[in-house]
Amino acid sequence: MDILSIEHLTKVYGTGPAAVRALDDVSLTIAAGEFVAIVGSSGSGKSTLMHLMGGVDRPTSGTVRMNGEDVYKRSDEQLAVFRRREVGLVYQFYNLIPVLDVEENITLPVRMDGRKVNEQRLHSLVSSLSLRGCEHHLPNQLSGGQQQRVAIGRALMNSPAIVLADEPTGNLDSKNSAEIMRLLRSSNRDLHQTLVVITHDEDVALMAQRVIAIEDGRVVSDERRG
Amino acid sequence: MMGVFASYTLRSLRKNRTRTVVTVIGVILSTALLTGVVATATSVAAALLGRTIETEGSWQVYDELQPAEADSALGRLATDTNVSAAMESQVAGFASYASDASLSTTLLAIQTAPRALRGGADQARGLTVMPTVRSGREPQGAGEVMLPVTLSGVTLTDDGSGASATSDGPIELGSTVTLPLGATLGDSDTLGTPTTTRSFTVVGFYTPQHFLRNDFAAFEEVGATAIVSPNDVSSPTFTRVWVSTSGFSTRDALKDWAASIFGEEDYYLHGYLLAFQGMASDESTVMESLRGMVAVIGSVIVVAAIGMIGNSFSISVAERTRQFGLLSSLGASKRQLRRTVLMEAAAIGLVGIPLGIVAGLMGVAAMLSSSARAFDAMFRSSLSGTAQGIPLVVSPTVVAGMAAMSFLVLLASAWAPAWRASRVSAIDAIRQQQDVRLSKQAEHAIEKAQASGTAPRKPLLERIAGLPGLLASRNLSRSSSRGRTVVVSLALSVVLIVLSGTISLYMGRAVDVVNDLGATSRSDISLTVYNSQEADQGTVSRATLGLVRDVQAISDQVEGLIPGKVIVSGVLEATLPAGSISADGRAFLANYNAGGSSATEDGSYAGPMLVSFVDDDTWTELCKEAGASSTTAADGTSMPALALNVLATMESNSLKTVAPYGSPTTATVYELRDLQSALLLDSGGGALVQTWESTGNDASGTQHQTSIEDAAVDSGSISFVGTLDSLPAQLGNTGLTSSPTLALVMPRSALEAHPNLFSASSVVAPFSLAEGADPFDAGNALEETASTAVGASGSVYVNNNVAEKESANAVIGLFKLLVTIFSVVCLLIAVANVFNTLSTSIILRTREFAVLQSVGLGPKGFRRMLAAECASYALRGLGFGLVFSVGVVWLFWLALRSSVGLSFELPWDYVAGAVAGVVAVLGLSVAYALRRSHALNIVEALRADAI
Repeated sequence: MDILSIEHLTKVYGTGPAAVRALDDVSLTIAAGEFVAIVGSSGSGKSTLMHLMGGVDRPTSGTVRMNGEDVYKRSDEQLAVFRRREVGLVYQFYNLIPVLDVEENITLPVRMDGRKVNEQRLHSLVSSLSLRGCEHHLPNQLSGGQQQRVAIGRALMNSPAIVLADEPTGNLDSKNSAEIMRLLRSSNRDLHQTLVVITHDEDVALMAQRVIAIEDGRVVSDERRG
Repeated sequence: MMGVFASYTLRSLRKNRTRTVVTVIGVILSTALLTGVVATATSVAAALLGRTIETEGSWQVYDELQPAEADSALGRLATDTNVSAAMESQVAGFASYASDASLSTTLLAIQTAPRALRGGADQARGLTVMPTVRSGREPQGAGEVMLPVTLSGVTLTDDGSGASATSDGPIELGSTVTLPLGATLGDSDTLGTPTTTRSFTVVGFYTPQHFLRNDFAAFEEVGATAIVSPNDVSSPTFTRVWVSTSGFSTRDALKDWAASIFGEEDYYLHGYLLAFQGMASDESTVMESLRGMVAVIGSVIVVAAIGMIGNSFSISVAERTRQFGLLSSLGASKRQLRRTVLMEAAAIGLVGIPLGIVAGLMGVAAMLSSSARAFDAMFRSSLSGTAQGIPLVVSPTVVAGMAAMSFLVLLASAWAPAWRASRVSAIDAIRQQQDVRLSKQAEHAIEKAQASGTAPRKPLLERIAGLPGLLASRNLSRSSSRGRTVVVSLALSVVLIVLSGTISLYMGRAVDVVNDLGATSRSDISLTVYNSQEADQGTVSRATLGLVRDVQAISDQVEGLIPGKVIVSGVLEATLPAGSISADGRAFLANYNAGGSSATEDGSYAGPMLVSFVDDDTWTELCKEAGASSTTAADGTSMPALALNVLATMESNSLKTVAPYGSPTTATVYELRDLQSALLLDSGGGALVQTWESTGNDASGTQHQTSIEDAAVDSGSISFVGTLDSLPAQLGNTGLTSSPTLALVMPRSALEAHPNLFSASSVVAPFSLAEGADPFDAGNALEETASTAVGASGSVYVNNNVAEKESANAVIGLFKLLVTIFSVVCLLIAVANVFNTLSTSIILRTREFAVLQSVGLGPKGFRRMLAAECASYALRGLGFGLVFSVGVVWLFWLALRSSVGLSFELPWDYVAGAVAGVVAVLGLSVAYALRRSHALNIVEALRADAI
């Protein structure tokens, strides 16, 4: 079953001669439970693709459907609700809220939704992310690897339809990188969490079931592996 | 060539254009305000100096040279390089005289017209106040004399002192007076022996002068001075010299110089003038309070400016912490980093300070010319229709000093942020995570949570606004020093707005109260002529009736004034039978005449009464008003009168009125033999006369009581035909009800028939101002015309109610204007502060906002978060501001309450304005910051290069 389908997606930044075509007529689908790696050189348009998948940016033309529903037909307010419920974002530079502690950062999407935090889920998430004992630390009291684990916790807390990770290991040493990828992979394998990882790290790409290569805003290859 | 750091500085200024502009505006405002305060002070000081020169002359040193020392001193004065102008006048001696006009012997001085020793004639005459020639001219040749106008028409007779002045009849132009020369004036006014006697022809009369101002022709001991021509005295008894100098900057230097010419301590200094010229002694309070005011207001401005500019720079540095770190990692030294920030300050100063000084000077010039009327009222001795105002006076040195001082303030403000910038390490540039410093309180809560493992207590804002509230409250605690800046600035703005509202409110009401008190239908302008003659009642009253004719003769000659009915006022001594005085009246009179009450239990009275005599038309009007039939019975047997049944007094700041009369029917008026005696009632209720008899020159004396029969020369009977319950408009200028004495109104025919029964000494003529006439010019013309017409037979006062009111309003308007300017400029500085702080704190969080939105914070939640933050600022700013305002208003009220009765009140419209203003400033700052920061465009914000 396709959870995400993208049709003729185009994104142009700027106007006139300065216009940059970041995405050029991209169409692809992602099935539920898939682990997809999107690779490409810098400036190829992979971050733009991720933002459009996550409901963060709006496309110039084309559609993004999540569970069959057009994401960008929504209002800004509905789009925010979509982001907090259906998407989990992980960035290269963690992007935690510096004034909130670990637990507050992880539960941010749930609390934005005005829902009660599922303490059990929070506990198991904190345990599996090896963050026990740091629940009330502020981000700047944590190491880079720990911060990225908090970011993953935030992305998974709401059991979103899709987790989008933009160079999640780009800012980490190899030991921490391996740990982060192990966590993401296990969420995909054990919880059937749909996962899209943008990377230019070949080791990371090798873990994925499917590797989509983007160059100059176009999909140049889409390989599935056994 | 511009160094790399200078060009870096200019680029960062350009990049943050809005904040740069706001900071420059802040510098302009504080420089302008500082310049304005100082320029106003120097202009006021110059005006005070000008007024002192105008009213007292420009002399700095005055001395009376004895003949032995005269030659050497006059020689020094003629050549000394420090003398800028000098003038001498020789005193030829003193004389005494007896006259028909006055009952006592008086003294006369004889001195020469001025002769310039140094400087031009005009400059020399400007050293002191010269006599104004009223008629004729100054003496020019030998044997000519000018006398004070008080001696016009007076015959001088020999009083037998051996040094007596005489005249060949009533003195007029062309008369001959004989004056003794060479007589000295010793202690207790004893005259020496004259060396010679000479005759002089009277060629002019001048207006008498004042001794206290050291006027040219005034002496402490002598009432009049005869002025003869400059070279008409061969051997003066002493020589008066007035000197002004140049080249001295301290009083001590001037004193040393003066001592070398006139002898140690043997001269007079013009203290007021020297104080305004910067050579003050310790007792110069005016200059000291002027300086004190400048110092207080100046330091408030400096503190506000340092706060605002310093805040702006610390924001600028905080914003670029990572840039400084990067520069440091690239090899910039601490000194270079520090210099970068100070250079930024210098660049801002280069633009802001000259503009600020120009704006300040232009502002003061505009203020001085728009408030010319107020400055005339305060600093000029005479007012005219075209307000002159005072000129802007400020020396280039002062301007340069202001520029230097502003620059120092600017550098001082930037110093601490510059120091902080130099301490940024290279590590800061490399670290991605922003350093977060929470407030102690928030940190403590989090530490507790870490220790216990339980979630921290929910802050108030979270409980109200949910997650956006939590975010807001954490953000507020993160930047508590910035928060404090915003709250303090907002509170200060609120206080300033409410304070200026309070000043308008209370000044306005104080004026209203004052107007109410004096508003008993006074005419636009009134002329009062006092008859100061000392003679028996009949003579004085007849002379006063003569003054009525003089006043009526000129009353339609003054352009722009419409004459009203002339009123004669005076006093009388009378007895009133039982039942005449009310209980209230007795209590009132007992209160004012402690010792001997003039009214008894049964309501009878004996003592002085005030009386106003009106013309027949007015009398008829007043009788109608009182409900009485008007009789002008001048048959001599009984005179009609209206009792004025109201006495007004000020009692604990409020006007209180009493109805003193019971049911008066008749009164008996007495002419007493001795002018110093008065009627009173003895303990048994019988009337008697008490006479004060002085026993010497001092104030001691005895009083003895006699029966009316022995003391009275004549008597008459008054019958009351009616009662007036309030002061009628026709008598508005008399002040009849404001003295604690019983008053009555009578027709003038009664005074004409029995002048000896009354002591009528003043004439009041009301005038109303014609459409379009200038009150100042009309008042001056009236005084001029009346003085000429009345001459020496009375003293003339013009009560210019319209001009006074206009002047008072102008002064109050000026005060309000100054308070408003000061408040508005401080307010703008505070607003600039809020704007800079708040907008920067939002711009710095752009990336964070984007993250929040990317994880699902909707526009609504985002707005709620910012609203919660602003609400916290607004509530704290308004809270502190309003509490503090009430305190300030209360202090203001306490200070004013003692002078005029006012109830405590807040200027609610200004309070509402302050609340609206706070909301507007916060809204504007947030709106600007959101636009600047692209905070609403997630992708751009996430991409935004951190550096």
